Amino acid sequence: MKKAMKLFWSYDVEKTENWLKDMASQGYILKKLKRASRTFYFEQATPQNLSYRISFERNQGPVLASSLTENGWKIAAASGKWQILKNSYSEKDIKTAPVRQGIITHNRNVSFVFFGLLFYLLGVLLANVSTLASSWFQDGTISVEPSPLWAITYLFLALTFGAIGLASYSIVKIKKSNQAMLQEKATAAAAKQKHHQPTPKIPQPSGDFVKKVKLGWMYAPDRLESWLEKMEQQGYQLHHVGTIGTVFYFVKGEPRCMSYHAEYMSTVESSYFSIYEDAGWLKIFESWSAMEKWVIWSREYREGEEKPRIYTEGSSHLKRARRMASLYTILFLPMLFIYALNANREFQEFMHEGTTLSLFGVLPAIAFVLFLSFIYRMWAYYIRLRKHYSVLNS
Amino acid sequence: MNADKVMKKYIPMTETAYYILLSLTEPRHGYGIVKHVEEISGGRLRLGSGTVYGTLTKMQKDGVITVFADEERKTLYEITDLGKQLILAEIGRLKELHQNAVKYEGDFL
Repeated sequence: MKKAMKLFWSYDVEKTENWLKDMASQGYILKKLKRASRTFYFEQATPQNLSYRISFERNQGPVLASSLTENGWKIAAASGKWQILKNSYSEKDIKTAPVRQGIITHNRNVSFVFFGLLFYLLGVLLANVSTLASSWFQDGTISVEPSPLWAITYLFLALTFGAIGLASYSIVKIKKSNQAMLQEKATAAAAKQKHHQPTPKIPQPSGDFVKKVKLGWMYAPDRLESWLEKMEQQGYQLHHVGTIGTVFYFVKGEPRCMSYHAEYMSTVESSYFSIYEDAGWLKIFESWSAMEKWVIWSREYREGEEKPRIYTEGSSHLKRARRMASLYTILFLPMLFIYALNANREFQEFMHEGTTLSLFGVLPAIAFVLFLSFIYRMWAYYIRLRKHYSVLNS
Repeated sequence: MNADKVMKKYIPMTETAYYILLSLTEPRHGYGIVKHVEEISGGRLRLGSGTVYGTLTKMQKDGVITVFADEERKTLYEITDLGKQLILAEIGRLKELHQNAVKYEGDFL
């Protein structure tokens, strides 16, 4: 039995898959994976032409979709939620594959953890450096006390740099391979698109854009939807939305009947976009942040026709809205708390010490009210939505 | 999720969940499900994309369906053994409803 260690095999799975294929062609067939030691175990046999696919399944156990089994896929090794599948069919006969989404999502979460670690370590390092620097600026010298424990200090410093290196490497590597996996999908789809109707290109406007700024629409997406629909009825056609989603560019034209839908997604999968786009929805905006994804969809319909809707059942729509409101509430609560403390301190100082109330002093109070209003608006949206569906059902 | 829990959670099924699962007699794309459901319901049910996506995600999480990718790397949905058990149980319940509907229908006419 041959052993091989691959430290970062899960970051670029495509590379690992090709390596496993290479090994098989040299007569080393994968038998086992030990994740803790990052070791792959091979058995020697006659060289074979095998294709490998790695997948990460959050929900299901090591049971393959029967379409995969029928197409020749077998589990070569499994460990935790990771599975390594092999297929002895020739490449042109392999028509199926496990989905990449699980790996993309998992690796993205891993890189979020490394981001957190990186920020923390850089913060600690910066604090130490600034202490050193300030004492150097004050005295012009840094006195070093001899200590038998210096070795530990250096060890920690080395560990810190090591961890910073590891985190940076992981983040860069994951970003690259995730992009490649998403790209792979896009090119595969584009190659097959010939028989498919091309997506309509949005024409460049002849006149000028009418710019409108909308801030904080995320806290009441239904209001944004009806505003956009009203604008369309008046002939202001939405052309595009600025990168951060606050500026809306309209073109003056014919009034249109449009259905708009803005929604929050905690995780975006490519299957999400394809279901919507196949049904005829046009993605007019997608926020770039991976953690906080907002998407605005639009679809034209003829007058007298029923307005197309993304949700035909209340429960899935309400669940999404509830999740969005809860998430933002949890996110904003610590800020509310901090602003409340600060506002209270400023107020006490103003009352007891008679200091003048500066603009800077009232800022925490303003921030407190603002964040409170965001939370209020989101739950108000949820309640509006619930009322809408209960009227619809009764 | 184990079989008992899944049965408890899904039965009785909503019309949406029922028709989505019923359409998986073969693996289909998300929009393929929408079109098929519209067809077999005689044009009555036009499922919204968000509703279908939400339901499919939930069913996948519960192990009722599973996914794989085709040559275009597009996601296809396939029913699992647990899903088959579930739809058969629901069909059994609906059969009872139907039998009683036929049996007692006359009394209301």
